[in-house]
Amino acid sequence: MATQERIIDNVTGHPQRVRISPRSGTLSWALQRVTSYGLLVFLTVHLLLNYYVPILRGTPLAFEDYSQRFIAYPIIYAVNEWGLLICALFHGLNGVRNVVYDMVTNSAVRRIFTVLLVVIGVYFLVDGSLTLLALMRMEP
Amino acid sequence: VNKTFGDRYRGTVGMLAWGLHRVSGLILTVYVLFYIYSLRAAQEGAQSFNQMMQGYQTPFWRFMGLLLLLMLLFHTFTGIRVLLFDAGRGLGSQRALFWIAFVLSIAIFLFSAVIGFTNLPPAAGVSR
Repeated sequence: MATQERIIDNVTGHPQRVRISPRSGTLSWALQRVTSYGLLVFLTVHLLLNYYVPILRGTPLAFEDYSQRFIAYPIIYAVNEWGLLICALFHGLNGVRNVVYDMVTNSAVRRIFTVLLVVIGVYFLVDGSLTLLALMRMEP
Repeated sequence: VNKTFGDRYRGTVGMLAWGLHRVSGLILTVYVLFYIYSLRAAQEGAQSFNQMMQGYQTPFWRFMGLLLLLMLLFHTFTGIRVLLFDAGRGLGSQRALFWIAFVLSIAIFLFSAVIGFTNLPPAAGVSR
């Protein structure tokens, strides 16, 4: 897809020429919305089970509580926890990237930040997955 | 000075909503990374995991947890407000929606703070 040029007048009220690059960030924007819907579901379930239930019963959550949940609801609980891990990491780190892109216009600096955030995301995704596997008592 | 800029920004609540949404989002991201890192105790076994979870029961961490909950609630409700605008809804009542988001997050925060500090046995916060 090549860079397009268009005349728009609905932003400032005056006609202006804009260049629409294929790398304009539409995918980043769309995925930020998708993960926000994911977080609304996964984080609500996670907080009800892991924040409010321990508060109501008066003791912190134990390792065995998690393992029992993974045994009782193997698919749905794993989907919820991994969905939360992926959505939270992407939404948070992409949000940091949005802030960087608002503050920095230098494309080299932007690329360094993007690579750095991807590396951080992959590291924590692997680390969090190993933690979830350990909680399921399924150490690789 | 760009005339359009001066025309549009009159110091209304929208800029505040945008700024607070950003700041809370950045703090929550740092917290998520910290939380995943501390949960790796589970990889060393049940005992170190339970010790770590017990460590979060101190008054300091319960207070921090409530602060984070407040930020999370505020970020969530102002985020829903943004999603509504993306769908083309509520554009005429942006200010009212900000205050609804504000009041909802304060209300759920206060509810959680009350059950958090009344429902726990008093000894649980100090030692067990």
